Amino acid sequence: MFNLGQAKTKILVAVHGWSGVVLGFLLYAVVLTGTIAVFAHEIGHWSIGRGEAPSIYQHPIDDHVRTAINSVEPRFRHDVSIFSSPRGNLAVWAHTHAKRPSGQLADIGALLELDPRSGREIARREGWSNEVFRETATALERFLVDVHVRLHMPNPWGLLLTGVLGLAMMAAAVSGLLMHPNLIKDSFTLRRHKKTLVAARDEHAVAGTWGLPFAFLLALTGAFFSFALSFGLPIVSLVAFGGDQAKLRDTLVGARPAVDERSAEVANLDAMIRDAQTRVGGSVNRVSITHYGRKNGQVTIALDPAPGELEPSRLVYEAPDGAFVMRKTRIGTEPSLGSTLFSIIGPLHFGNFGGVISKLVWGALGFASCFMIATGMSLWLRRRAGDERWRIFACVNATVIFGLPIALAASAYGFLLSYPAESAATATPLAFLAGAMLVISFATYASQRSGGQALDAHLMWGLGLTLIGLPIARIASGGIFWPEAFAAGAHETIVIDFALLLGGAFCIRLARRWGVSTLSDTEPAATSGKSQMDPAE
Amino acid sequence: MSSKYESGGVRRVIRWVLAGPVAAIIAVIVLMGMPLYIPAGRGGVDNLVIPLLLLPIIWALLFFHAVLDSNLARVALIGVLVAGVNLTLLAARFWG
Repeated sequence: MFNLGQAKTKILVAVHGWSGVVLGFLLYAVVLTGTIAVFAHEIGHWSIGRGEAPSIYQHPIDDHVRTAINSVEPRFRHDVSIFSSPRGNLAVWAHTHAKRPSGQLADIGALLELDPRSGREIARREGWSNEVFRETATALERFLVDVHVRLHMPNPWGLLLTGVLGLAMMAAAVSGLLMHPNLIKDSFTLRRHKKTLVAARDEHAVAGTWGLPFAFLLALTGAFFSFALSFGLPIVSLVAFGGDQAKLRDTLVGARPAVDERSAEVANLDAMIRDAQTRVGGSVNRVSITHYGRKNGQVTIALDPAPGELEPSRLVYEAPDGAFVMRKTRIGTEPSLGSTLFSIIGPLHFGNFGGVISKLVWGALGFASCFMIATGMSLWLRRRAGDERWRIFACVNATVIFGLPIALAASAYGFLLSYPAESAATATPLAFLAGAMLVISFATYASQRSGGQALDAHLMWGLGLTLIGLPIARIASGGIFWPEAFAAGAHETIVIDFALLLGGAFCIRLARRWGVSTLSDTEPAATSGKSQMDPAE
Repeated sequence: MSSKYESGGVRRVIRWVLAGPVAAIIAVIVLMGMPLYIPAGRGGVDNLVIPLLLLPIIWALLFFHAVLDSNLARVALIGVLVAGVNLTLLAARFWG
């Protein structure tokens, strides 16, 4: 496709290879957790054994919300947020802004969980927002997303690192594109019958070529999120507004309504919700009320993208009379190129713009990207198979490629065995660490004992058994079995259980093909089709 | 032969410095300058969002130019020009 000459192609091969080798493990971690995070919501439901609950807004909520707000301390009734709780119930967060003892501004209030039909109070928590929203039911979901977004490192370092990895992904994608003179032909060439190195090269080229647009899109949008949140947005805002915080706020979210502290009842919320759904057509995601019970109060209704659209919507109403004010953009005061781009970056990155179908496509492309990174590393190592200096790296490579999914699965075990105790929030990451230490210990032992022979096959066995064990652990720890799940509409639970069982079986089948018939075999069979140390061509 | 190797080695180091930290720094300088010449748009936010979206692309252009252009002086010159223009605009904005 591009013929840049031998010298330039050699440089591009070096850029492509070394960016992969130096940052490949971290990139693999981000891509793998990102692929899993596409289904974080569904995994969250699976982990607590519930399905996608019917929308809380299909029942009238106005009376329930008023009763709930009247039951909290008056000082908390400044702003109100209404949304679906992790268990599919009606959540009402009545809060105000206050200074912590440290001097930092934060939200403090009361979070109530109500039955959406009867309005019966199920749970209540009061305190600062970071304490109140430490919901154990979402511990596994939040852990998976957190590892992807910032590799579980503190801000801003985790965000900066994932941003750099986005740039590395872009460098690998662009160099991969430029260094293939016959890109179209390479994307259809898969010589499986040839010797291992050729087959590995073809696998990597095919996976990389077909996933190129996806890799570019993910690198661009991922780097946007990481850099914007860590330092980008403050920098461009400082330059654009010269440090004028009020002007920045008015531009980003619109001018504040004039202060009017006179009392005024909030109009019927159900009527505003119905109006919003009629105007836009998407399903309601969240309702926010600012200056609750005051003349200058406003109700903002956030809706998911309507069918066939990418952009979510936000509609603003006057709280006292329910009059429609405007359709608000996600950012900015009026629709513009910038606000549209900002609105669609999220759905394009998360793959949730088209429901389950787009998520499945994004998940498949994500796994293909993981395969591309793994085969790239494998290709690099195969070309250096005779070099003793790279032997240890080969063991590390196998440990990371197969060990990371095992450690992530271990985090799920930690959650399942501790939920619904409060300790689930800490048990989940601790279990990840324990799984990682176990894998590293085994890999260290195996590489010292047998020089790393069949390490990848043994780890694949371990991954297979870990995956198969997850549905068993879920049910054994009190989770619902399939007939009960089907009756309760928890279809995601059944689908994920079967996916884990099939995935685990596939892993074991691969391990056997790689020549390790049982977990206790120490060496691959002589005629195995795949081994870490095949001689280079 | 010794001087040629050192020359090649020095050139390689210069190239990777230009492609590495220098490209990153220039990309951030361009990010800072873009809100000054990208129109704000109707909603007043185009000059905030578009620079952030372009940042990885600008970095990639600078990086691959530094890696592939055989003329290191040209790479350095273009980098200085791009950074210089943006820094001048920033200086005018804050101290002009």
